[in-house]
Amino acid sequence: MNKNNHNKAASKPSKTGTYFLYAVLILYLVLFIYKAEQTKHALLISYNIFMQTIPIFILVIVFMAVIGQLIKRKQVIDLLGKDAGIKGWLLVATAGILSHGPIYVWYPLLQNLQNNGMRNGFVSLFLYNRAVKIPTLPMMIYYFGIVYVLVFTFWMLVASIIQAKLTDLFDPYLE
Amino acid sequence: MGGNSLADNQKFRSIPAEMAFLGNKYAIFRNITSFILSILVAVAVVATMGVII
Repeated sequence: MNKNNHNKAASKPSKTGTYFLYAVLILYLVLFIYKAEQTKHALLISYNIFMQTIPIFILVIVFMAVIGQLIKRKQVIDLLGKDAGIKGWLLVATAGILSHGPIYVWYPLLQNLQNNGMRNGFVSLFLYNRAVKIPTLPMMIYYFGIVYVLVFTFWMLVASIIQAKLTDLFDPYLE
Repeated sequence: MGGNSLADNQKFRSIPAEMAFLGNKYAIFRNITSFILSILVAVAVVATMGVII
């Protein structure tokens, strides 16, 4: 994976993002003139999503601060690097399952860990395991039955490991 | 039903953010493999359920 790309994304503010922000603001303004009620409703939905993501943002910022201040690069490499053992696999898979909120909130944390030596396969492992959601399991069991949910979850975990292995295998070509 | 695996780990709207943070080639590779794996998971789930039930 391209480290320069990471640094660029982290340090250099994108002008495209600024243009996009202005475009969205103008769009909202125009829509507000013609369809005030619907635009208010859309803004309320956006506000609710924003409020829901705040706790996740705080959690990710705390994680990043802890990683930056308390955990040394060598520790990250030992636990999550190329020679990581079963402990690393279990830790990342569990973290992926337990992680909540929008996926894009977690990208900066993954980037941070990656820059500190986390193998790319583990990034894939984390992201794939996000599809296994504990809060929705009771509902899934209610609708599809426990056997189906167990089988489905098992194959999801297998697929996450396959993807992690594939990512590591093709990693030299992903730079 | 096995296609549910596609639901969260491969959302097209988050690809630009994934590209920005984790790299273009990585994001494309991960999303393509997620798509293929989601189909394989669906096949595996159906096959396993066929054996169990």
